[in-house]
This record gives sequence, C-alpha cells and structure tokens, in this order.
Amino acid sequence: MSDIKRRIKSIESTIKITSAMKLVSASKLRKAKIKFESVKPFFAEIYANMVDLASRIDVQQLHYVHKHIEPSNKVLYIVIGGDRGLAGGFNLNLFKKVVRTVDKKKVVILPIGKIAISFFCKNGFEILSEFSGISEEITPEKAYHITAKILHNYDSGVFDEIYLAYTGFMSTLSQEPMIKKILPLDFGKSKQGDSRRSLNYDPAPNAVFAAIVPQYFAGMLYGGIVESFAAEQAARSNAMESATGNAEEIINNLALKYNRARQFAVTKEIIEIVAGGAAGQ
Amino acid sequence: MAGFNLRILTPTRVAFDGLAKSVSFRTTEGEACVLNGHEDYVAPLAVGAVRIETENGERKLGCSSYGFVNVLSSNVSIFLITFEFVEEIDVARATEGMQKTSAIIAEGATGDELMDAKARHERCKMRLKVAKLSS
Repeated sequence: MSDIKRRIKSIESTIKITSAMKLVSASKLRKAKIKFESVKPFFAEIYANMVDLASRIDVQQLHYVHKHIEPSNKVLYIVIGGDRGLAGGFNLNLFKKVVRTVDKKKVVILPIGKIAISFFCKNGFEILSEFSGISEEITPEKAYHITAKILHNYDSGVFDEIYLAYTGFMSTLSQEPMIKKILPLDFGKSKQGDSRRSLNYDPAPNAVFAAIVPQYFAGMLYGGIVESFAAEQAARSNAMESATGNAEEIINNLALKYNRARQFAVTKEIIEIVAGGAAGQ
Repeated sequence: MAGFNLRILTPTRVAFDGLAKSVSFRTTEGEACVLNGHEDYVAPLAVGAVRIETENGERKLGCSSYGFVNVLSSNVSIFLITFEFVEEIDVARATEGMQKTSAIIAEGATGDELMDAKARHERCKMRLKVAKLSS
C-alpha cells in the first residue's frame, strides 16, 4: 500500500512538471505563431519567384541556376532541429527523413539546435559548423550572416547543392518534416507557359543573381527557422498535454488499486476480529 | 490610368498589398520607376527611398534596405529585408544608431562587425534622409 502511495505521489509531481511545460510551450506557441504568420507570405512567394526566375533564364553555366562545372560531389543539408527534447516526434521525425534521403558519404550537415547537433555528431556525419540557441530570437539579419558564410563555400565549389530540412507547421495538431532545395535553382522549365516572354535584367543576369540569391537564401533560412520553432512549440504542447493525460490515467488506476488494497485490509481486519470473537465464545 | 498589383514583402510583414499607379525605387544601378504595363523585369535593390502612388492617387514614401524587385505581367513584387513607411521611422532611434555605428567604425572594427556596422550605418542614414524628405 505504501508503495502505491509513493508512486501516486511521484506521478503527481510529474504532472506538475508536464502541465507547467505545456503552459510554457502554449504561450511560446502563441508568439511563434504570430511570427510565423507574418513570414509565411514572404517565405512562400520568394521561393515561387526565384523558381520562376530560374526557369526563365537562358544563360548557361550560371552556378546559382545550374550545377558547378566541376562537381565536388558534396551536398549540404541545413537541418533545423530544436534546442530541447520532450517534444514528441518533432526532432526524430525530421532527422529520420534526412537520414533516409541522404547518402552519408556525400553529405555535409549544418545542424541548427542542440538536439540536431548531438544527433548528427553522434551518428558520425560530417559537420560544417553548428548553431544553437538561435531559433527563438532569430532575426533576418542573423539569418543573413549565417547564409553569407555558406554561400561563400558554395561559390567556391565546396558543395554542389544546398538543401533546407525543417519542420512545416500545418496546424497546431500537425507538423510535417520537409526538405526544400535551395540551390542550384534548376527546377526545370516554368509551367506557366510564359517562359518565352523576355525578361529584362538590370544589370546583367549574372550580377542580378549574385545580388538576389543572398537575400533569397537568408529569407528561406529565416522562414524555415521561424516555422520550425512554431512547429516545435506546437509539438511540445501536444506531447505535454498527452503526457499529463496519461499520468492522470495512471493515477486513477493506482488510486483504484490503492482503495481496493485498503478495503481488502479493512475487510481482512474485520474478518479477523469477527473470527477472533467467535472463537472466544 | 489603370493600376497594377504591388506587393512589398519583408520577412516580418506584408508592408503593402494593393493597386498602384506607379512605384519608384533605387536599384543597384540607379533610380527606376515602374508604371502599368512595364515589361517583365528583375533588379536588385539598394538602400534607398521607395515612392508609391496608389490607385486613388495617394502618395506614400518609404525606406528600403537590400532586396529585389520582380515585375511579372501586371504583378510587381518587392522583397526586402526591412521596409518602413516614413511615418513609421523612429528618428531618435535612427540618430542613435548612426552615432553608435560611427563609433564602431571609428574604433577600427574588422570583419563581420565592420560589415554589420557599415550596413546599419547606411540604413540609419537613409531613414533620416527619407524622414527629412517628408518634412
């Protein structure tokens, strides 16, 4: 009986922790959702615009649009994970998707978030550099600094391709791991049928792409980090809610067991007294 | 004169979304203006003033940082890292920013810090200039 009581007490304190974590992530989620809603149009449209621009360019050997002439056979994956665990499958679903997609020998990972860093280091992936504790306070300028360094590597031919792996925020209840190709921008010809309309570049196409790709890349990274952070908070909020629910269920079961045991002990005592009294007569 | 769709997007908000008669901005090559029926066009933008004439003739003035403009059929999209309308410019903050970044540059900062300070200095300077234009 005292065992059951101890367990109930320990689960009760777990409930306190999980419900506090739920409250914290729910309030963070509210803020993150507002930030995500404001970046959503930019994130979606800049990508669509770049894809369209790239499909209409007729200049060959532009390394932002086509592959490098001398491939390095290395691909960079920027993986945006969380800084903390206890968020259900949030981190692992994304990491699993990346691991399934990539060829370990050809990939270089740039993990963002403590959980992503420890996962990819532990599993022996080649790491470019790492960033942690930036997701909550990310600004477009910070994203720009990170991408400037990566672009420098891309320009000098260290990587052939750059991908962004993040978690999409579908709704508070559903988050989905996503992989988006950032560079090069060779997504095939435009479907809109306007690829024959001439496009005026000012200055020349090479210079235009050299100037706008950094903005595009920074915008994509910023959008990915903001969306992943919102998804992380939603995932944690859901995970903690179900953890609290499960803990309550366990407590209910244990309380039932405890009451039965108590009742059994009382009944046993009564039987003993009655039996003792009967024997005395 | 009919209007065209103009959208000014930054990572933190949609700053403008509506019909406009004209929009002028500063590209890396110089000042440019887009009217209705402009040919398809793409250009990188520099820190500078953005002037919009809306469909009903209202004139709006703003301040852009780096980004690019994309004209596609009658849709004009301007993507910027930051954008402020003149009434949103905090003059005191921009003045303070100018002083701070000047000090950082004068102290002999190097690398990222210097680049950062120079970019911020340029943005603050343009904010003050745009704020003066409207007064």
